[in-house]
Amino acid sequence: MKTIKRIINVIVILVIAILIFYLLNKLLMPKYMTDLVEGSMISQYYDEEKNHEVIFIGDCEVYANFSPMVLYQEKGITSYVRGSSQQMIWQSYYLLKETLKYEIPKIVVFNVNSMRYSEPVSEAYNRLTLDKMKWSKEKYDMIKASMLDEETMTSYIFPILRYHDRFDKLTKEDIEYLFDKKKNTYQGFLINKEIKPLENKPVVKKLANYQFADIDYEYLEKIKDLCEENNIKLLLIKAPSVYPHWYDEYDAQIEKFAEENHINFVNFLDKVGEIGIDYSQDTYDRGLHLNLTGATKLSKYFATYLKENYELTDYRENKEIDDIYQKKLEQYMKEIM
Amino acid sequence: MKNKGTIIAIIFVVVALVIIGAFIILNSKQETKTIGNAETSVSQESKDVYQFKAEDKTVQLGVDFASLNMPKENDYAEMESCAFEGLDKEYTYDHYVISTYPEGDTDKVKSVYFLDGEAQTTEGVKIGDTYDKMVEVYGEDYQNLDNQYTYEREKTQIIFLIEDNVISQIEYNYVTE
Repeated sequence: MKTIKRIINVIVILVIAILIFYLLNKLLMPKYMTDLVEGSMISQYYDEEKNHEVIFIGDCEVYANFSPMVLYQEKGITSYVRGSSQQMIWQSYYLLKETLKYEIPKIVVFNVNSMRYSEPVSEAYNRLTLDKMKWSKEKYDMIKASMLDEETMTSYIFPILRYHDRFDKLTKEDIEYLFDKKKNTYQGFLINKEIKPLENKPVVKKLANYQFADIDYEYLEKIKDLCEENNIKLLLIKAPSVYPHWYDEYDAQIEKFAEENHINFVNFLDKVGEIGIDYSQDTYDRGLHLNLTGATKLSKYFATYLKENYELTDYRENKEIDDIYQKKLEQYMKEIM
Repeated sequence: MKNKGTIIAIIFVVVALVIIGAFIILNSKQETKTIGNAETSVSQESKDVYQFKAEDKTVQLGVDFASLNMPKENDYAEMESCAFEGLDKEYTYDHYVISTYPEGDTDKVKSVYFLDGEAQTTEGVKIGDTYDKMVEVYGEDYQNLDNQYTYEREKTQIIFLIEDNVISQIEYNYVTE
């Protein structure tokens, strides 16, 4: 009897210790709700209906520049942006792999800007993509591919190891969103209405080497293969961000890859005039990202491009789906007014 | 007996907390840095660092740009980062561009980039000079990547691009990470 009691005591104490450890992890992990909201975008996908014919993957150049609500409004295209800040190509690959566990779209749109990076750049940006991603083999593999030398896998498994110094920096947000979260994107599109015009372009420096690294091609091939295996059309794009400078040498390499693999590639920097983007009005950070008016122009143009070049369903004619999207559009319109 | 059970429970909790604490300390070796942060202690007028001299000014890398009291620039550009606060800035003068990175409330000098052959390094090398001139002045203790040659002193660098044996680009750089 005494032995059983002791065992129960030990189990109760263990459970309490684990619970405290779990709660501390949750409490100290940044919530990304009012500050650095980019860190919460990846997780918002999990709560969505998975009925998208177009999935975007890539860095900030997708989540700031393409509005799925405009694609729907214009052509009835259902889409979702799985973008995150400075998303590396290996992260895009694993994110796509994870997405395909939930749904198989008709088109995957990949923004090629990340081809310029041959190695992880920043732990802080890694965290924005990885912290809120659901645990899966893809997340584990993505962490392995993304980590800088000074990072450890255990700090991703137990965030308290990374964020223990936030004890004295906790805010109301950490309590308010301990178990709760709020949506701050529309299908992965982050709205920004500010205007900060592009006045002077940063100087364009020559590079010692313009060749994309082998690792970038390796992951681009993997993305291509993943799409082929799932009968998905891959579309490569370069969003019209003025900096960091997109060199002609970069463009030529993507053109070549696209041509050799029969993939479409659209560089929107070449179409700025046609789209009507005005960098004195349509950017919120001097040309790095488009603001709402710029993203709306680009998304309208892209909706037409998609409709003309691919067989996509006009879901405005499907009452069940349209009802869902009309509700979303209603909220979206309120927000952008 | 009841006391004994309580003592065991307390010991168990204390041991568990010690283990958790040790686990955290042992695993928290990684940094808590954010983008743009860097140590900025550069010894003033030190011979161990590269610095650029422009007319009557000495541009030290890694120092507060405001402390340089530079004349009014011809052009100015700001660059934001993808998600984080702070701006990288570029001040363009006749023959060179000084770029800065944010640290706290200050802008630290990140690089000096030569625009043409009118600017020259403190040691007298300019765009248009040859590889031999570079080696004559700076020696062969460089790191070479493709056509790029980097000389490093502490956290400061001079980077040359050489095309057809001629220097086509010169940049002073401060290593921030």
